[in-house]
Amino acid sequence: MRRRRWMLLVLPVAAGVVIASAATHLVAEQRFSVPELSEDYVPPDVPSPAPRSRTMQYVDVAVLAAFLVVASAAALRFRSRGGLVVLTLLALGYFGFYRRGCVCPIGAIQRVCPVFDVRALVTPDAAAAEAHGLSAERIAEAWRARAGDFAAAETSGRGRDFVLSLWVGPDSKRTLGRIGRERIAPPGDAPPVPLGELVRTEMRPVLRFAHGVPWVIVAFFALPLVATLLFGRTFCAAVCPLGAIQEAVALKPVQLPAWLGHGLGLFAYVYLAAAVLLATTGGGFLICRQDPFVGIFRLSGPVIMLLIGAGVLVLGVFLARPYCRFLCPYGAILRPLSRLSWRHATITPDACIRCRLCESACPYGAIRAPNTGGRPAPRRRGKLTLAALLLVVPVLTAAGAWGGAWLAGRVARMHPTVARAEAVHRELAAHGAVRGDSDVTEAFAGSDVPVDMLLAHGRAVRRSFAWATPVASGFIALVVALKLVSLAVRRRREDYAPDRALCLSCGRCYASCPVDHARRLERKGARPPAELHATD
Amino acid sequence: MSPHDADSANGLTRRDVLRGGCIAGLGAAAGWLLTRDSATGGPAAMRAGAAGGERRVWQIDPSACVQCGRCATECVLEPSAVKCVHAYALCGRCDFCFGYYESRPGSHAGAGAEYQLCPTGAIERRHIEGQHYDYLIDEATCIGCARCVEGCNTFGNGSLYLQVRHDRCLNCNECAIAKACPSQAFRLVPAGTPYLPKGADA
Repeated sequence: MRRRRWMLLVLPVAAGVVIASAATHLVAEQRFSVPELSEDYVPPDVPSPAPRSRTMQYVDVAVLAAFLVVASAAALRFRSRGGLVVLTLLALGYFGFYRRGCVCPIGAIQRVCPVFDVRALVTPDAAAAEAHGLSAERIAEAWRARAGDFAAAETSGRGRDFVLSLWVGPDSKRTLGRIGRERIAPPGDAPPVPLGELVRTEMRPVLRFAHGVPWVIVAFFALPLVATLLFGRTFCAAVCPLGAIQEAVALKPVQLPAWLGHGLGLFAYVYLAAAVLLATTGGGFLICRQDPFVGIFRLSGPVIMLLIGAGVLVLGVFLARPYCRFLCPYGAILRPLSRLSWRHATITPDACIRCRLCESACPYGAIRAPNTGGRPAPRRRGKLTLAALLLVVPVLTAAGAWGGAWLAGRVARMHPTVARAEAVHRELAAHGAVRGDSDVTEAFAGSDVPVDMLLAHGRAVRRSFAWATPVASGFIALVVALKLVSLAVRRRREDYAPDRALCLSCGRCYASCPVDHARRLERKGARPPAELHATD
Repeated sequence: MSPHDADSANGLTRRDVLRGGCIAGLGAAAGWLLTRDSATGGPAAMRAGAAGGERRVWQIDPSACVQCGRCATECVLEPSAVKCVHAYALCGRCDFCFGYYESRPGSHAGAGAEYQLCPTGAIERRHIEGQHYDYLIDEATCIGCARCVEGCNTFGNGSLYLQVRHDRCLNCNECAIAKACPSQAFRLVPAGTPYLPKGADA
């Protein structure tokens, strides 16, 4: 009781002292002074809710791993379409509606790829130094001394010529501007010169492999890749929420002609290349911005995003999993890995009896028929065709890269820094000053970033596009060329078998296989019809 | 028996070798990614957050915010994860609050909604004593449009400011508002200190 009375006395006093000290501390920048209120006044509480805890992130990764194991077992070991459907719905619930689509392996591509950072190098300008009667050492010394005041600045000893070298972020551009505005007095009674006029600032793009990618992102990116190398695309079958929502609506799927399926499938590589190009140059995350279903998972979002999502779902009723097959950039990575898989889902649990019943079971065009019938083309002609196609590979790749180099300037405008620099540059050219006619230039005019700093940054980003765009377009051309080669190579197939690259291990074909059916009956203790084993 | 199985009976196939290479490469790359030290990282590290150590989350730097209103419209969530926050240590507790009332002639004529700046009526004006009032933000109603922030910053103490609220924020790979922000006020901050508070209030 006594203790409580003591608290009653101390608490209001303490609160008053805190408020008073805070008020005096900040009074200089205040238009209205904070009033002195009576001692029993306590300012309202402002909560600071914490972000998702570390433990819950461990849970997410563990759930992903568990889903991959169970999905692989359901597809390969138990051959259970029903099990896969249940798992699909659970994945839709957890990764889709509970985690609201984030983090996902598809988007993680953009977090693990290398990134062009921009480095600013400040060097004393010999001509300007001489004009003001200052030595390069004196300028370097002044810059270094002031750079010490800013945490973001690094004085690097790596170069001989430059006095300051720092990675360019939103803060460091301001830092450079602030140092540049400070003045240094030349000898004699000449007026002081701003430090920025005595140096040249050069900005260079430097390709750096991902720094500090959170391990959760790495795990989400890598675990499905490992699972695919072991068991095929079971991640697509029943773990990916984007696949799950499309699987749920694929009610009346039609089968596409093979040439159309192969052709449309190439768009995934174009999308992958474009997404990596933008992420690498720091231009944004294309995959996340264009994700058709994330708005549905979150039950909110821009109208256009929701409409596109709904449109893809309606299309998905008739054309099964359009996003997975023709766009998904992660699927584009999984396709070649699935070709190498250690084990893979099979149509039949035993020997194929070539009954052709599975032919129409697959809505993804992933079942390859045997090609033993008919005569192959003459060997000599086949060899010549292959040689010609192999020759086409480097030619087509080079042509693609050349096209990318030609387009690089236009592609670079998708980068916000380039767009900002161009807007500011246009206004400067038209009016001689940044007037702030658009939102972007208005915000820039209100910031303390010097104009030449922004323009130099824009040029550096353009240079990174000049490197990265030809690589991206060359990659697309290479994929197209390899596709041509692979279509020309004839591999002998004895049985109906899944195309390992395209098969999503969804398990639809299991039910149509009479061998599988017989096996199930046998398990239940019934005798299978004898004629099924006759062709073995 | 598929041709693959027939080959593997005689030893390694090309597929085995390629798969082994892929797994080894993937393991090495993942290990390398995880051991990279974020302390030496540049803007990429700032964007991506710290390795192994601290995760990073999106936040608004109130000193860079220009109150353009995009926080209300660009967020992937509806309503936005950005809300107005009040730094009570800075607030003058004014009778005529420029963050609460429309600053046009005669707008102090009454306490009706037509005189209020907030489009959703998310600010509660509560009398303390004398001529002093507290202005409380109802986060459930606030849409993060920054109209009150603009008023308070233009004519008042600037005690109202915008923050990403982490009970709502999904921490997207790429924050849609950050992308649209004309003043680059969004940045990634350590998850342990997820707010950039104004004043001594925090």
